Amino acid sequence: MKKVAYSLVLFLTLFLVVNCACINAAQDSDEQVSTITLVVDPACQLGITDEAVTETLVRDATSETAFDAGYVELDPDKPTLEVSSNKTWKLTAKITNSSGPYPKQAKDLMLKNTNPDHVVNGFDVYKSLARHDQEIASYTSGVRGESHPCQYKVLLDWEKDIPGTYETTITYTLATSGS
Amino acid sequence: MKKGTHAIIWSFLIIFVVSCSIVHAADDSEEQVSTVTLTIHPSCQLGIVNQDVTATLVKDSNSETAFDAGYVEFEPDKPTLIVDSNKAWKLTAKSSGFTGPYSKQSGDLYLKDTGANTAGGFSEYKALSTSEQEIASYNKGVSGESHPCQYKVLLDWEKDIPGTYEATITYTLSTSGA
Repeated sequence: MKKVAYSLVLFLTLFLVVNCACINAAQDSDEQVSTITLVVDPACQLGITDEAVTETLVRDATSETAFDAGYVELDPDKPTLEVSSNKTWKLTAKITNSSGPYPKQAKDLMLKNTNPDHVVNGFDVYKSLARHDQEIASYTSGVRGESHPCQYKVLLDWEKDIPGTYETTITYTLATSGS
Repeated sequence: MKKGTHAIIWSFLIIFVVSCSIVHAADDSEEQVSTVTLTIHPSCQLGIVNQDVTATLVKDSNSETAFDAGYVEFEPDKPTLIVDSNKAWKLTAKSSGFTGPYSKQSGDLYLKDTGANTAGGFSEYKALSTSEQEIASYNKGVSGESHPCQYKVLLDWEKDIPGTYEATITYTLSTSGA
C-alpha cells in the first residue's frame, strides 16, 4: 500500500514538471524592424514686424528740435526682426532703394539693433547703413525666434534737407553660413 | 427395433443440423481504436509593409514650416504591421535612438498606431524610447489584424542642425498569458 502511494506521488510530480515545461516552452514571439530616416537641410527663417516706419517733422514742433540736434530718431523696436536658424547664421542689411527731393546720402540713415546677444559690427549703437550688405548680427549655432528690435535714425541738415518726402527701402537678409 | 434405430438416427441428424446453424450464427468481430493528437503551441506572426520611411526637410519649402511647428509628420500607414496570433498577444516597440550629426533624443521620435486594440496610449502620438513599450495587445487570437502606424519627429531650431538622422525601431509580437 505504501509502495502504491509512493508511485502515485512520483507520477503526479513528473506530470506537473512536464506540464510546466510545456507551458513555458510554448510562448512564441516574432520580430520586425522599421527604419526612419530624416534628412534636415540648412534652414532659416526671418520674420519682421512693424516694418514700415513713418516720421513727420512738423514745423513749430518737432522739426526745429530735430534739425538742431542734427537727427531724428524714429520709433524704437520698429522694425523688429525675428531670426530662426538651425545652424550658424548671419543677418545683413542694405539700402536697396531711396527717393526724395534730392539724392540724400545713404549714410544719413542709421540703424541700431538692441538684441542683447548676437549683434555684430558695431550695430549695438547707431551705425550708418550703406548700399551694400553689412552684417548686423550673427551666431555660430541655431536659434529659435530670436528677436532683434531695431531703430532707425536719420541725420538732418538745415542746409541740405529741403522739405519733401524721403523714402528708403532697407533689405534684411538672413543666411545660414559655415560648414 | 428397426423403428427405434431409425428414431436415433433422426435425432442425431437433427442435432447435427442445429449445431451447424449455431456455429454459423456466431460470426466473429474485433475492434481497434486510433487516436489522433494535435498539439498546437502558442503561435504568432508579425508582418510589416512600408517599413522604411524617409522625409527630407528642404529649405524654402517644408523646412521652415516644420521647424516652426516643432515637428515633422511622416507619411501615414508607414509602416503597417500585420498581427496573427492564436492566443493572447502583445505588440511592443523600441527605438535604437537616433544616429546623426548629434545625439538627438530618442524621445523626439513619436509613434501612433491607428489600428484596433492599441495600448499604452499609442492611439495618439507618444514618444518611443530605447526600452520596450507595449503599443497594442489583445486577450484572444487575431488573424491578419492591421496596425497602420505613423511616425512624427520633434524639431528644434536650436538643436537640429543640418544632416541625416536615422533610427531603427524594432517591433516584437509575443504571445502572452496562461
